[in-house]
Amino acid sequence: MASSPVSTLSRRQLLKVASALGLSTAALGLRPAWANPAGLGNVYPQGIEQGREISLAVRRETLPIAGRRTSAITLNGTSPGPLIRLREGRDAVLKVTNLLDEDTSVHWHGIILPAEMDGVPGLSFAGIAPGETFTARFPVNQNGTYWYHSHSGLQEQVGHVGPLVIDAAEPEPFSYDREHVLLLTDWTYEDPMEVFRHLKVAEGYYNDQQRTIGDFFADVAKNGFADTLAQRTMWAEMRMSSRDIADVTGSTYTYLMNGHAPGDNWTALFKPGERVRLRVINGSAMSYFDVRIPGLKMTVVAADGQPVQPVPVEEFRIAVAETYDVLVEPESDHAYTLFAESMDRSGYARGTLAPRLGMVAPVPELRRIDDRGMEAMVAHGGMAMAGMDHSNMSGNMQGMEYSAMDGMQGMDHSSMDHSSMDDMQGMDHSGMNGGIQGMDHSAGGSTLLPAGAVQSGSRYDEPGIGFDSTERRVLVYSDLRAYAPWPDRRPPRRELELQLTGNMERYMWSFDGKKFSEVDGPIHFEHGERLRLILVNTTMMEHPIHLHGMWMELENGNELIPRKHTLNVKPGERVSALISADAPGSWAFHCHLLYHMDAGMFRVVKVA
Amino acid sequence: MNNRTPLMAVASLAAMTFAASGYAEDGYDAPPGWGTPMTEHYFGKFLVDRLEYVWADDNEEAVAWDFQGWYGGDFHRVYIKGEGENVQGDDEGAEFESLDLLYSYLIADFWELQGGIGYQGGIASGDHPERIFAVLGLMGTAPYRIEVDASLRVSDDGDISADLEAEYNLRLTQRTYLQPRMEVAVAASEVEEFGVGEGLNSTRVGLRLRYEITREFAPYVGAYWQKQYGDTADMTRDDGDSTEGAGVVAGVRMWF
Repeated sequence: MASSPVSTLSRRQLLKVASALGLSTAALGLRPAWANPAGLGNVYPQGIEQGREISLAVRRETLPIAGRRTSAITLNGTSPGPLIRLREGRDAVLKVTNLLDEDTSVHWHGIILPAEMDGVPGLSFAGIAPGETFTARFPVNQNGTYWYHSHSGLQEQVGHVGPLVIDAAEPEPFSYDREHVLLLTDWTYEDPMEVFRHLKVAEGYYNDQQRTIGDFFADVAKNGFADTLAQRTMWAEMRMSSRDIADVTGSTYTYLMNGHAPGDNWTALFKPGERVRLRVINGSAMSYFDVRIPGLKMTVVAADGQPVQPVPVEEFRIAVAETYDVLVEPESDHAYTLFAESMDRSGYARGTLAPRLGMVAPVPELRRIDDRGMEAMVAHGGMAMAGMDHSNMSGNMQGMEYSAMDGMQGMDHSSMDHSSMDDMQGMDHSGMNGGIQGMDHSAGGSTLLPAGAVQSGSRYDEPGIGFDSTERRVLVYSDLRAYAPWPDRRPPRRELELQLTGNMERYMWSFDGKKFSEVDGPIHFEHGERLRLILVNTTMMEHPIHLHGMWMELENGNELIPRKHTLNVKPGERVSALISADAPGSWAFHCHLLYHMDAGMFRVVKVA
Repeated sequence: MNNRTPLMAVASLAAMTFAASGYAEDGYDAPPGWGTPMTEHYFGKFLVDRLEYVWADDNEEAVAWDFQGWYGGDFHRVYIKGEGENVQGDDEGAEFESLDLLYSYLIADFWELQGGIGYQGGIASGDHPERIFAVLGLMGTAPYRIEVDASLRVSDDGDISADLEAEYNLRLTQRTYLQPRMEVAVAASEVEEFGVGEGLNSTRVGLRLRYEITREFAPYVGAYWQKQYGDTADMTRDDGDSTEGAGVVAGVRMWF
């Protein structure tokens, strides 16, 4: 970066160079209005756009990523794009100019705005044709950490993403001395359409951590022959892989933090004793990350931009498209590693939190990939399981050793009630696509659980696959409590249940067994209604489900219901959210794993 | 040969069904010209499952192949499948044991029903007898991840036969696979010209050890054992050939 010829330096590049050198923008005389009292810049290394009117130029450019020249989509010359900084209470004016030779778009992820400003081609507008400028103009009535990205084709995969921060009009419920944005992305040097093709025509193409005969013998040694055989037989019968944790992995991805590869040692500065706010954004196409800073406790203060009651944690999983704000207070004058390990343990993004540039801290070793266990298989009970209370059961299962499983075929765990699990051995995956069509429990009122109640089948108290819960404190969804109650306290008047469905073999992903191309109409919300959306994940993979235009209030059993724009639904899980359908228009509703969305896991929600 | 016309009709009907498979409109009031928020993609793949040199125990050597190519969406696809060999040093051209053009429809998560026309005979030479089939096939992955390709054939002379291929990939390392393989051929009527007897014709089992240099390119070595039965074996015996044999192979599996 510092090698850019000085004569052609733009202001943006100057900022990048400055931040790479650890200079604050203030030192360059470009001190921005939002600078906090400590007067510290270096919030984000790719430059910052702010002011009453912001212009973004979208281009195809060749630039180095991890030292290798490659073609990426840039925004104002950087990829990922610059930090867009808006102010709550002030209208946003964002002029996006398309200098590509194809259509583009920008979706302002997590922002509540009029439908025509939402940036989804074919839904909110026609898209931005080459050479054209689209001006998104909307009132900003929220604050916090968000992001923006293309909603056209697979452009997100080639760097068309960036952070979006809205400064609060009123003081926030926590204070800090300094802030840094940590935008996590997954970069591939392959053409994204090639990646998609590989997923479509060659299952497991990117999985270099499949089970081998060696794993079988290792399990036999650990759990005995009979149990291991029973376990493996079950997976084989279903024609599934228990190592199916990420579709696209570190075998093609270089995981980036603010656009920097692990080897770049991108550094965020602090002064010992300061309280630092880290705005962590998962802007990747396909990768869940587990984030930790060895040696530092983190306090989660916001989720998806919305303030929550502080939760002290040592590690948190961030699903694709989620954001978390955490506070850290490094006391000593040494470096800490910002470590974001991919969920399948095939790689990591890494930076350093240090008092000075050029410092490094030990980088943790990657953990071993985990095998999916019983909880994922429960998924295959699908609807059968949905009505049944197995919240305790899954709790038990987490700590359960395979050796205790005793062969599913003849399984009889007297301590658990799992009537439908008997079906599992003969479970026919092919039935999965049959699904029930958007089951609609219209309100008899009394049959609906009260607002905020936990649905049976949820596992909000589990962090998910790949954690050793005894090792460190990991954030779970049941930890999330809104900082203050959200305004709409009405109970839901109806429930809408959707199944998350898929066919891994063909890489078809869908809701209720139908790809977007197969459905014949939108999902209807009545304008002004309060409804409960129930999502049942019948697949063996996590899905980050994103609703545009309206918040999803996660019914995790807490009185102070937290609200999110993206909900992670674990395999086999059944989650619910309350929605106030207060935003008229057509909105996108989809899995935020880019290739899942493109493979059909997309619906339109029409509020009228 | 008078049966060819209806066969062609079936094939073109299949092709039309494929072409007509558009996708439903989601009625969300988007003005015309906006396009759809998600586009449907079509893909294709050409897999050479086996391209191998065979050293048989009767001192015969041959080049053998088994390929399949497809193009289409998730439900509708067009397949071309071919299996054949060229025996070395017999002064005869190469021959297709089968060359099928099939329309394929996804009937269950792991299963495709296929139908179309097939050809058996020489490749650009008159060295081998020829015939045309109507083919009905079932291809997919059975429980335990056994890959299955079965087909039922009716020749232009009305002779009925069926064959089944099954293979399994045992992963030894992330890149090394041991692949047991099995083929069974049966026929309902005797067709002497092709050396086909009534009943169980032949079985062939093989084992290949494959190393994926890349996902797309994997050389292998292996061995097979085959045996003929009943009338089929008798016909072979009458020709003075052996009804049982084994061999070793070396080849490559690749796809594009």
